[in-house]
Amino acid sequence: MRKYLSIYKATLLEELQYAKGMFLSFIGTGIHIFIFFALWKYLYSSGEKSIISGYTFAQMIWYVTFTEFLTSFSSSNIVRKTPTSDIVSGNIAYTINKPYSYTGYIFSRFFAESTIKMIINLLCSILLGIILIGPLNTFQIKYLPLIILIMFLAVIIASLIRLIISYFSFWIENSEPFQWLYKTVFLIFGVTFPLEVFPVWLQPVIRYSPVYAAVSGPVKMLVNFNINEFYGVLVSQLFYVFILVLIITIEYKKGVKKLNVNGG
Amino acid sequence: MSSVNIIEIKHLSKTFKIKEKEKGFKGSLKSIFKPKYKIKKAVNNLSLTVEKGEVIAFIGPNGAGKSTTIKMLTGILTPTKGEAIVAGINPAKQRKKLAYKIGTVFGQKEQLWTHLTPYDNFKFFGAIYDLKDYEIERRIKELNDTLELDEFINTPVRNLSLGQRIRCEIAASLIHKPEILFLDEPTIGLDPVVKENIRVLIKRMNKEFGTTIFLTSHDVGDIEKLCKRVVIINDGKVVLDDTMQNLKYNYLNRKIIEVKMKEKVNLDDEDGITILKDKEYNLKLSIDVSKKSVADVIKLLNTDKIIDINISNEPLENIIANIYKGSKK
Amino acid sequence: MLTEVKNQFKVSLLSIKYSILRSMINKSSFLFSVLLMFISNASFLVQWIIILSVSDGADLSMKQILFLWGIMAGAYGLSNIIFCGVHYLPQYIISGKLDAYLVQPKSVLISIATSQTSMSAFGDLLYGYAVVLIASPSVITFLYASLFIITGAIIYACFVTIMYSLLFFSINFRDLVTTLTRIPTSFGTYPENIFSGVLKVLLYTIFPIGFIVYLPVRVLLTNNILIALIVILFTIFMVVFAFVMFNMGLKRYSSTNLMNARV
Repeated sequence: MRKYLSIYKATLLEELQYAKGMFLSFIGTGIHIFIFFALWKYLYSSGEKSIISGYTFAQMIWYVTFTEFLTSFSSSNIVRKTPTSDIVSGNIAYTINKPYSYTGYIFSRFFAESTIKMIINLLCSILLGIILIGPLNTFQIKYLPLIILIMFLAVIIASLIRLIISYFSFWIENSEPFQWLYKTVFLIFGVTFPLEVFPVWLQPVIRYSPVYAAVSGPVKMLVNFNINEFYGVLVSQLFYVFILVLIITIEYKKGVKKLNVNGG
Repeated sequence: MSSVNIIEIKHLSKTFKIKEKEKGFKGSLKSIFKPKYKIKKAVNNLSLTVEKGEVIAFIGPNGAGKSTTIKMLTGILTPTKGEAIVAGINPAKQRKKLAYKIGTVFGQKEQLWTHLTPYDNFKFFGAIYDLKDYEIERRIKELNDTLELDEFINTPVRNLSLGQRIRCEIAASLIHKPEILFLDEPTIGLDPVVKENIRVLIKRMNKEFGTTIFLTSHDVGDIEKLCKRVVIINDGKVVLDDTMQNLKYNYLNRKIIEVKMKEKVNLDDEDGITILKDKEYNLKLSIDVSKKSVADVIKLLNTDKIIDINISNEPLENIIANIYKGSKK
Repeated sequence: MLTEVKNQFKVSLLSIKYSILRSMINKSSFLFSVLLMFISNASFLVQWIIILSVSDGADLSMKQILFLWGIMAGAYGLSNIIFCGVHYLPQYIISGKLDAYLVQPKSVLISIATSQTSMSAFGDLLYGYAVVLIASPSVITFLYASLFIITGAIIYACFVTIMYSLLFFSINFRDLVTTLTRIPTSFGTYPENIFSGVLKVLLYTIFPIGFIVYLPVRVLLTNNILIALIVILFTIFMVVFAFVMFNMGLKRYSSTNLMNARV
């Protein structure tokens, strides 16, 4: 464990230099949030509605702000591009002989980057939300520890899926299109709208999908906490963490084997 | 006789303003609000003429102003002071017109489309220089004969060896029959055999097409084998402009003598002799032949006791390094 | 003058052809990218079905959304097939590859713009035509769509060029400017009804998505030929503006060579 901690620390220092870049990339996120603010404002005001699918305007905006916040972590190049380029260039062969697991190495780096990202993006997100819509009245501070827990698990799930897709590169030359697909699916079914906005027949499908565990579930708890639903989210998250870890372990093993057979 | 001068550089200068940054966060802030500048004279009052058909080596240590000069001669950079006339054109004023008369090969920067064959590349570059299709075909044939591209002219560039690529780069830059070819480090990264090959081709090109060649290189072999004239610059100024022959004659007045003796000899530094190495029975001396003849030195050594002897010229590399050092003082 | 234009055109066509050939070297990878970009775009229709399901009372129609997505995807796609090189400007400036174009007797900007292409852009272009024609399958729609996909592609490339030309004055703002170049595409897939005030002014000026998408959608919905003319005039203005800015930048580059810190 200590070696991963030292990778974490080293990356932390390295990434600190790029804090300015992260700040800039929040501009892009902020623009997305702003577009959704304009869209929902238009939709709420044009029908003179105060509630859509059980959400107030304020809850809807905070929902989008925090789904964007959550997805900003897993869009990191460390889980999305680094493994692919390591595999394609054959550099991964050097890391195989090292006394740590490659997946562990990637995650140590990912957590380091996420630490800095969290500080910057959390501040910016809260600031933007307050400017756009004002404080969120339905947020209850006493549930904060529980919310932090499921937020953390959500980031793990999303980044595991990203990494699983990156490891596709063991078999196919270009795994990037799958990353777009992931992004689009998550954007449409999780980031943009809460579960309740979708047609009734579609809701169960989304509820049991990783999209709910990694995005919409946890953020819903932030804007509108409910202890029963919380347990639902937690169980689903633990299930997906287990499954995804299993998949990535097998995938990596098979991938390396294939690499050895073909000589990279 | 200015009509035969294909390049005329008069008092050319280029100064850069370099932003100076202090260390740390405070320094970064300071540089945003109150930037400090340092003036660097990359090229400093440089004058030079090159005659049509010459092969000239333009050399100097890193940061001497070589590439800044080439950039000014090819129209990439505009001079701060002075002017250059290349093939009768002022590069700073008529960049595009000049482009038809010059060719450039920048060793580390590829211009070719790597997924295409050299043939397709030549067609593309031909079109860039407004050549008609039949003209391009004719030219490709000529270049093919001179540069020996036959065996790989239809293989995609990415599958070619480094040496073959450079040959194609050179051919592509000659497609429009330029009057001058600027070669910046053309043999960098090549193995000795290929280097030699490229040198032969450059020489042939100079002879057959009469192309003036302006070459920069770190490789002494390139300079020695290709160029009749050498210009050395340092700190933006010409420190030496001479023929290769003179350079060798004036600076090659040193010989290196290495001997292996039966028994130890005692020899001290004296006028004209410098002892480079003295280890047991092995001795390495540097002789200034203008002060002491080789024969005299050998007599000093007691000829009966010599097991082995090797007399050689001082390598050109050392000579050039010494000139650089001298100009610094 | 005329032969100069003709020669430039010939080189540009060749350059575009070679770029496209390069992107197709690996056929399966190419087709896969195109297909997935198509699917990825198409899935956004789900988003709009959801939005429209809760939009009672709002002035939004599926037809409008299809036109919007069609023109945006089409223009963005075409721009990134033909002029993808403009996105590489910062890289070319920093790596010194710009120098290679400066010693050629052709327009530096056009040479750079046509030197690259994007595989997935073909998926965008196909998708653009597909949805526009689904919304209104007619010859007139096809002609209008083609016109606006072309003007949009040109305006977008010019916008990116203008933004990156600022880098000639200080390369330090590379990341910020890169972020700014993405703004029009973010706004381009949402109808203009939802934006108002200062923002709307910005979308018709600095980030000219109004001329890339919003006005063309109005033409497709209302057949107003006057608006079409305005779009064409604006396109010409953008081309001139982009060349002026880029050439000013080049002049600056020739006198400072930006990378002077590494002489």
